Amino acid sequence: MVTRHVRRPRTSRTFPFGALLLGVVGLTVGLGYAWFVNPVEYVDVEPAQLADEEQRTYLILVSLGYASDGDLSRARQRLAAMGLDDDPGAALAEVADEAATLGLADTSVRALTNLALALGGEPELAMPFAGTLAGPPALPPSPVPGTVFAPTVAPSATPTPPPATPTPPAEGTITPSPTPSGNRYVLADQASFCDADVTPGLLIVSVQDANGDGVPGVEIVAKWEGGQDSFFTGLKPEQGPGYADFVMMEGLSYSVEIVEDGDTESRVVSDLQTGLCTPEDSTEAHLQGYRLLFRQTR
Amino acid sequence: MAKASQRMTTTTRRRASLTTFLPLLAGIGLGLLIGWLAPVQRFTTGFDRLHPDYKADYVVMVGNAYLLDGDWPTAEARLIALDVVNLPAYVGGLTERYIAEGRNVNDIRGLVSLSVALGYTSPVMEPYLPARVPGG
Repeated sequence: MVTRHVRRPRTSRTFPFGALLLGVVGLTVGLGYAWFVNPVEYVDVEPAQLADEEQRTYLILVSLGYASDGDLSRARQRLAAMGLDDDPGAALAEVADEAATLGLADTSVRALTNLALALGGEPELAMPFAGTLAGPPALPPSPVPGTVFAPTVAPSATPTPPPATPTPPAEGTITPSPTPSGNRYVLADQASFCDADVTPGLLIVSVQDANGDGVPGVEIVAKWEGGQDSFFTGLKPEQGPGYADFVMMEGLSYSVEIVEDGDTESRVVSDLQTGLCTPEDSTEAHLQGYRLLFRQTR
Repeated sequence: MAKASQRMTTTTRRRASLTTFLPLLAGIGLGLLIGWLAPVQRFTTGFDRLHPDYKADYVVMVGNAYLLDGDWPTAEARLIALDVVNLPAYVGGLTERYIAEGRNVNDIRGLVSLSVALGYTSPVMEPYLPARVPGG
């Protein structure tokens, strides 16, 4: 018997589908093992390496931190650790809009919006949330029996650091408005300022007692055409107990009232127009801010 | 003739096993390489994996937020996400360290509030404790 071996020419050899299939199976097994069975475990990561959901929470916390201490450079550092050192304002504006859409807690949305604005971002959907975090002064509940928190600013053992944001008024009129008789507070000072380092359109309100000491827990109402918002002194203890601020929007006219004994009709100052100005140390237009000082009458 | 046939069978088997295992091994190797160099873990990393410095800063921010909104369930959930074995001791120790180092007063107040809420207090925290209501 003669056995004939017929060799096929190389060019007609079929594609090695079997080998390719095995390669793909191997790749799948390898990836499955490396990703799910024995994955790389990161330790000591930076905030930038957190999962998306955690990154969102971290952003909210950075914003709340800024709302609490008003330290913009610190907020910038924290955002840089998240890899947001290039135009963090835009990224925050996006998150603020998303948070507003998702219906997250007002405090979080406000904090995100305010920080976005402070960093030059332009939130759209979240814009109505801009302004001081409204609500009672720090009132953390006390899960530990025996400790009751009161709405007063706790005494500090160490000197309070100097305020970060406010700067002396650079320009504007100092024309105290006439105060309706019967009010406990009078407008002692009013000035506009234009400072690139301060949040655009910031309205700073200081409330003092007759001795010139800050008064915490005073409710202030800002009204504009079609809306109003209330905020309180003492929410930023590092700025002083009588300090409160509010971010105004461009092109609106505001009136500011101090609420006394529930009376919201005690208008104190009106016609605070928000317009653009050019700070001394900058060439870019900036939304001017106002500083109001109310003092208790004896 | 039979020997030649046997030799051919062995060669064919060897070739067959090579064509079977080589692509499989190469695939597994490539898969491991890609899997470990481009891990999915990155997208699932939680706060428990943060560097200790960032963990401390995270707790400070949770304290700041708690001072602002007074929302203890949220603050507690955020702290639990750190997956620390003894949370009161960790937050309390951090608070004492911040007090000793004379850090930002606002940060210390937030940390003290968290410590108190977790049931951890110490004499150095006393000046930063929230004011008590008369009779409280």
